[in-house]
Amino acid sequence: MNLNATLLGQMITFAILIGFTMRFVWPPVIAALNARQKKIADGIAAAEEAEQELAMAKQEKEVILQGAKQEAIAIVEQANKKAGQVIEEAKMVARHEGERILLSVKAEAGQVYKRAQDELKNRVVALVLFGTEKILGRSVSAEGHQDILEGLLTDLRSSPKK
Amino acid sequence: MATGEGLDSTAYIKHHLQNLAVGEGFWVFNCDTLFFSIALGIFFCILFRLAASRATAGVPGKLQNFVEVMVEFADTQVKDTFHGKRDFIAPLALTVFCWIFLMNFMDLLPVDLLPRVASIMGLHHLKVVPTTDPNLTFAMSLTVFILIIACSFKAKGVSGFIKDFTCVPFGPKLLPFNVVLRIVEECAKPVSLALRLFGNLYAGELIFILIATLPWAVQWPLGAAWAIFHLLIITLQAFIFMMLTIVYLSLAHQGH
Repeated sequence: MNLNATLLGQMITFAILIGFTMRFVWPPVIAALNARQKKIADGIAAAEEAEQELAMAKQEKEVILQGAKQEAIAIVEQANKKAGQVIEEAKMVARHEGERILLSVKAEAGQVYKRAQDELKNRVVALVLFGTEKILGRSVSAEGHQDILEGLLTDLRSSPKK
Repeated sequence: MATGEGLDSTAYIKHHLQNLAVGEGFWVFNCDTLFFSIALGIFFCILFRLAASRATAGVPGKLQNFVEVMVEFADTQVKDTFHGKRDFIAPLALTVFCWIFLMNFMDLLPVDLLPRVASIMGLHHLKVVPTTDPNLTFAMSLTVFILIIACSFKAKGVSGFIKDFTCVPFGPKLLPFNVVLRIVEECAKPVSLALRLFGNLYAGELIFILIATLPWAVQWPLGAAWAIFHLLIITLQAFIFMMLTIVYLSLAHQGH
């Protein structure tokens, strides 16, 4: 074991190595490590935040869905009610119309009937007048006029509408 | 095997434990130690600088990943022991660990490989593992020692440092005892640091050399077994040197 000047040389070498590592190796590597650590931490935080947001969105979706369902049920109910109303109204309108048509038909029928009656009366009168003329033209005896009267009667019965 | 060339095994072992020295008296430079330690230091710097300059916060590549693992390893060790600003101590710990590990790793190269290459190139002695040279281990531990004292000064101030040195652990009345005790305590730190690393690696190297003197049939199983075990030792020694550096510096930082 012989110590010599190599010792001094080695001390200088060692000091240079320490200085180099301290100046050129350590700071960039540590900076990169810290930056990566921060990046990973940020990433994890962002993922957690996203997860929370997702959970909140899910809840919100549930609420909206529930609301939409209720609204749909309400709309269907309303529609049913409205449809019932429309049908009821239509029925009422139809009934009124029917009644009105019936009334007008009845009135017309009455008129026709009356007209026919009038005409019939006129005819009867004319016929009576005609018969009377004929009877007066021949003689005034009951037996002798019997056949004419009977003929008149049959005439009346056979054609009451003309 | 160099034993076949007229050298007996004692000479072979001695030959392998000799540094490639240049100079006279104290001013001797162990060129092999200097060369390998500086080369490995440059390798470490280039590798880590390459990863550091391309470091991104995004998905890291394989090199960046490896460097990040090393950096985080050093940072965690420092964070667990040292409570304060880690701007200086953590890079120091990383440098200590990586450099010592790389130098220790040279021990796993075949003992005759690089010396043979060197002898072809005309160099007669070559010790490949810089950590088996006490000059290197003492250089590191003395640098750490200087840092300990500097850190102590910085944390406590001059008066605090003197007070810490004279009045601890027995109080101001037993000042001489305190001083003697503290000097021994402080000096034991670099000596133990240096000798532990040197001793472990020197012994490991010696066993590799001894295995290399055995007949070839028993060389490879013994060599393999020792190399596998040595993997643990070189990592552990690098780790221990780093941990103790951190511990000593944190002690200096906190005071007693």
